[in-house]
Amino acid sequence: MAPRASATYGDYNVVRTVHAAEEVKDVLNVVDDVAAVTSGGTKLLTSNGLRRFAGNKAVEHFEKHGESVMKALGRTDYNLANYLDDANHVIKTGTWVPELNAYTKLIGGLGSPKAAFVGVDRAVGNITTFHVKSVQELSRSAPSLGWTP
Amino acid sequence: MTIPWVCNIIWLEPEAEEALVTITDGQHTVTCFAQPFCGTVGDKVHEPLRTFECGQIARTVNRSSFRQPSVRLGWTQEFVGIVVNKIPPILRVGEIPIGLDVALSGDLQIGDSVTVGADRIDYIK
Repeated sequence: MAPRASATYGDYNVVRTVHAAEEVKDVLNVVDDVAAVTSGGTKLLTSNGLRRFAGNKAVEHFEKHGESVMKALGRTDYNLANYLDDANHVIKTGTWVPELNAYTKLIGGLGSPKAAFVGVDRAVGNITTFHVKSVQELSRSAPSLGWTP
Repeated sequence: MTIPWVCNIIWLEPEAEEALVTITDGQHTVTCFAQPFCGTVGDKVHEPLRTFECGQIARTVNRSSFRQPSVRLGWTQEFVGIVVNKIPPILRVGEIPIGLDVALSGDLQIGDSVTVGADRIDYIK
């Protein structure tokens, strides 16, 4: 019998079959099937299927990195919701970096080459950091990307 | 010659191995962003630190130093360093080497003193 992933959202319990080749991180990215996932009492996904930071860490990280992310993305206005949306966009459309347990996505625009970087918790998969790194740094710390500065 | 070392660590997010790392050569001190970081106080720093989104490079007669910008935004840093290598561009503030993420203009020579503004200084271990 194929293993099954269980997720709780409000009064609903969603159970879906996990195919043999499907990894847990991929299951977490299936937002159509699972509205919210609980693991050890920590909710990973919000009701609209987005991953989030644990506790109130989102505010702390937004205060630390929001400005540089805004600047790198060429925005003139940026808030916490934008920050979380962009982190989730990187998770959904970026490249998985196994050696850093993170997702990354190249950013265009002016200045030196850079990439958005979203680290995720090794145990439960929620966001641990979202900031901007230089491609030069990532090319060194994440050889699996195959990037050259 | 003194090899710079890590003199203080403030963990921002241990799970993400994200920290504010202060590095000194005994005379100059700079606080950097580091992620991933897994070092300890006392670690020697052999590789140059790295600027992120470096700008405002200009020749100066001032002595090497790190200084707080008059209006500090986020991780913004300003420093005065000596050009020790042109390609790749590396400055030295005291004994602390810093690699720039932009090229130096052709008229700058090794030994010149320059002032630099950067959005962030990263410590990449």
